[in-house]
Amino acid sequence: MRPFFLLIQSSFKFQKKQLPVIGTRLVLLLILICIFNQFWQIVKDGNSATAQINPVDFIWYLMIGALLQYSRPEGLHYQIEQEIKTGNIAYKMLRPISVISIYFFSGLGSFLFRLPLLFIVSALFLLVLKGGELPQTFDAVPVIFLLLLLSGIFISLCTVFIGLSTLWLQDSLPLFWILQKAEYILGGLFFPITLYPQWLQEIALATPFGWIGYGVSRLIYDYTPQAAFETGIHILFWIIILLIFNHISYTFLRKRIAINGG
Amino acid sequence: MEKYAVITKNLSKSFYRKEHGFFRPATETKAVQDLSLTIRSGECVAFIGPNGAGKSTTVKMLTSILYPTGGSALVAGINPWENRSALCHQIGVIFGQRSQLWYHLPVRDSLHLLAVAYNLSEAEEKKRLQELSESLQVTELLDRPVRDLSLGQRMRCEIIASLLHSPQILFLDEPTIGLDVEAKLLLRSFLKQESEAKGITILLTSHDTGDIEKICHRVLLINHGSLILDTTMNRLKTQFMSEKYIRITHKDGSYQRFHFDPRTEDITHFLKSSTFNQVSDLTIENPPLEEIIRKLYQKEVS
Repeated sequence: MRPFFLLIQSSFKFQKKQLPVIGTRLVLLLILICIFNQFWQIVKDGNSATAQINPVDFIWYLMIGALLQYSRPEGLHYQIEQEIKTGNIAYKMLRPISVISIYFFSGLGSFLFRLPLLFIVSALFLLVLKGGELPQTFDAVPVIFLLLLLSGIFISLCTVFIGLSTLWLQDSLPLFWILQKAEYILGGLFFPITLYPQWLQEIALATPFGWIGYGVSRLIYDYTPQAAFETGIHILFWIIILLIFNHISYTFLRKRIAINGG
Repeated sequence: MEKYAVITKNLSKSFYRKEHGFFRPATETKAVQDLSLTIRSGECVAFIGPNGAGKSTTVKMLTSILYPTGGSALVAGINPWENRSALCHQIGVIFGQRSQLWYHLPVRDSLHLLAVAYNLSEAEEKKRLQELSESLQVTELLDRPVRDLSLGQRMRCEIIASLLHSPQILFLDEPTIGLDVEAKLLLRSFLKQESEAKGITILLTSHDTGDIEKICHRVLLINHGSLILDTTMNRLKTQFMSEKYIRITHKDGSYQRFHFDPRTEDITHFLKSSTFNQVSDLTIENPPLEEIIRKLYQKEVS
């Protein structure tokens, strides 16, 4: 396990140098929070359906969902794509450490560095913005944070899978684009999926995005141990599915390299 | 240590390309054909041939990247395709245009990561890193991110990364490509010295005859996937350097260069039959290795 911890540590070191980029992301996140704070106030005043969720709960919901987006290891899928296209990946396989693990732990390290940083600053900002008013189940923050870490594992694996999709699609961008939009819509990034039509809610919860997005974020105003457990189990299930997908992709990659070379 | 670092028997690799059309059969391209060779431990061998000859395919098979379509191979006593993880502890690989260092990290961090991956103890890592960084004059570069290094500096660090775990065999593919003269000289003398001191087997593929001449004692020429020539560097020079160049420098600084073949021409006769005025110097030169190799390639192609 030591090389993997080192990969995470190395990723942390790199992220420290990325602080201006993370700062810019943070500013964008805070602007997004401000816009949606105002927007939700207007929508709620004129719509009885949204009245179930108060503005404080909503804005915390939005912040948690957006954290996943803003903490993701950007560029990792592109790096994998380039290494597949140039054939560099074949040479990285000559190390006594799995190349997939290198990508995964680098991505996870980047996520783990960004998440707490963005979480703390955004939470403080929200407290100020809402005059110290807390969401209904603020006590659930430690559990939410743990589930966010689990979601980070999912996102890092997903990013590796997107990168490996180059093997089939010649380019990782199409799948990245589709999955990103799916995260926005099915993950309920902008609105809790309870506001969606029933059929779309069912689709969202049949995908991983409904659980890593809505499933985790809603706990800030609707926490029960059962709901948290259910969300955790679903995320774990999708992590296992992605592990299988990545294993299949890696086996395919190994086979292609063994037959065709780098 | 194994007596032989590399043994191959009828090693073959074909690539199949499916043509468009459902019923069209796949076309076969034989990249390596029945390649049988042995390389003793501690030998420095140049693996040369024109582009597309099968050099890189062979190296890829020996380093376990590619799976052969026929034959067998043992590298450091290990079947490369059956025991890839054991093999990677015994070999070091340098590909001139590829990097194994983490681009954004300081060199030291990349090397530490590799040392941990190779299960080196802290003491071993420290000792080896000190030895290598001093020999390659990169001690002051270790704390700089890889992205800030010049090509020559990065290449020296890549060599440390490949030798950190003290491999038995080092595969070098165009290690000096793009480097300036000074960097090339440093790398060549370091590799030669490291091979002699530690008994590392070197298998070098390069189009740079300087690399071949300075590092290797033996030359394997491959073309169309088959071994054409297996000889020592000395024999290559004597056997194929039959032609000579005579350079005559005149007192006014101008010079003339004549080419003759001592096997068919008499040098005294040649000199007597020529009229030279105001000669200040006369030298007889061997053709450069580059020219010998070019002629061997041409002979092969024709």
